[in-house]
Amino acid sequence: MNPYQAMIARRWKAAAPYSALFELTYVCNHACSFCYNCPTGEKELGTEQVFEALRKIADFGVLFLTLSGGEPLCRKDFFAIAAEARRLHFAIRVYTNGYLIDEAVAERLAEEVRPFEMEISLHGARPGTHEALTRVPGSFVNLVAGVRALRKRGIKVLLKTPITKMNMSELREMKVLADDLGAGIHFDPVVTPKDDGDQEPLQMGADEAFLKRWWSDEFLDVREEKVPVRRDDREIAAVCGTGRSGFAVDPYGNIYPCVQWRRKVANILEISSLRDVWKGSPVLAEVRRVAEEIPRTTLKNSDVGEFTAFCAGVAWLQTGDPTRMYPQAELTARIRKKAYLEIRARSDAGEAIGEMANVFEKCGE
Amino acid sequence: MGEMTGPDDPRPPRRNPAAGFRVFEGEATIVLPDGSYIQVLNETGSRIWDLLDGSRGVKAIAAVIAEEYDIAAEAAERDVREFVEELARHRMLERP
Repeated sequence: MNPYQAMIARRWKAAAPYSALFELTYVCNHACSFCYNCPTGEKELGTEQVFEALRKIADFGVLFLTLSGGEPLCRKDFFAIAAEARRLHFAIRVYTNGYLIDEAVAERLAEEVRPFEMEISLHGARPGTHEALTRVPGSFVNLVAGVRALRKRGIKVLLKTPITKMNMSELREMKVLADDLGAGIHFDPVVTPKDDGDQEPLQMGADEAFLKRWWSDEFLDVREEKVPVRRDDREIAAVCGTGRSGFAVDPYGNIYPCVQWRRKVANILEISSLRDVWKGSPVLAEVRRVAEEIPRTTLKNSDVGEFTAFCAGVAWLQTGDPTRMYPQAELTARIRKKAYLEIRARSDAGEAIGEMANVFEKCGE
Repeated sequence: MGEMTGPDDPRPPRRNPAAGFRVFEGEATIVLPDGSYIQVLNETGSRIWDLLDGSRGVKAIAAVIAEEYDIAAEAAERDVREFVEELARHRMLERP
């Protein structure tokens, strides 16, 4: 364990969060059909209120700050907010659709924001596929130009792609595109429900037949996880970092244990310090208890528990019970376990296969 | 970003303003945007990092370290100089 990993482990155990995701706005210039945001119509935080929130987050010791949305660059005061985040010595990540990033914006990002990473949503290798999801003509061309402008200035870019029925035949092309742009790419085979529990987005997720192909050797060249990894909950008992390693703040200032599990903890403008809320919140106490319970019960009692990437927030949205196994998690785990056992059999038969001992990186790690 | 500095630069060294950092249990974790370099410093290194605000030179920082950690001034200056050199090598310092 290197010093960084040791620091992360200590903070997990102490439930001392090191990352925060701040949804600066739900305004967006795209109309993605599976967007999980659910604006309430309340007034979003103004510039000074965002500054106040950032100061409280910094005072709490949070290092990694993700500026997200909606589309964060839609805020006219985005660069003022990012400058304040810089002044407060956050390590900044920006999660964007890339539509507004031209040469001038890329220059400002490089000079004024200096993010350690830009994460950009890519939904297809071709304009037609990408724009069928974003529903904005020109969004693909803008994204590609934006990534080039960022890379030209040495900014690290990670493309993020939820695998859907619409783009699952273009994954290899997207990998080629990412390589050409000098960007990383992360494919996520799981589509999540909307924040209000609406499960319509799940209809767009890749089907079982594709998931079986995804976990076979067919996609070894584009898949980060070469061998399906297993869980290891011995060192850190919690199923994930919800309410522990990080938290999320919405555009109205509401604090949640994580971006997926939206049980309101408090409003950041109504508290004097995050430290007090973090210690005393009954919501967080419950969330942490549940997160520790899941590996001991739900996953232990499942024959595929060891291979399950379990999200308490999704379980809560889909079943009303954060500890209950939900269909997507079980199906994916079953396919991953089968793929693992096949690979292990090949390994036992003498085939040289690396990464057999790798374990899950927990969500929020 | 401005030009990087080294320990022999007559101007006081200063933390790279593009660095994100926090101190947890006495240890500073530093993240640089260029290549997303992450470094965790031990307690003494974290104290030196804290002092690298551009207002003190290496000698002045070494004097603080010598006093706080009860070590000889000469040894402190050598250690601080080496440490600042390493930070500069990793582009963690900048001229004010």
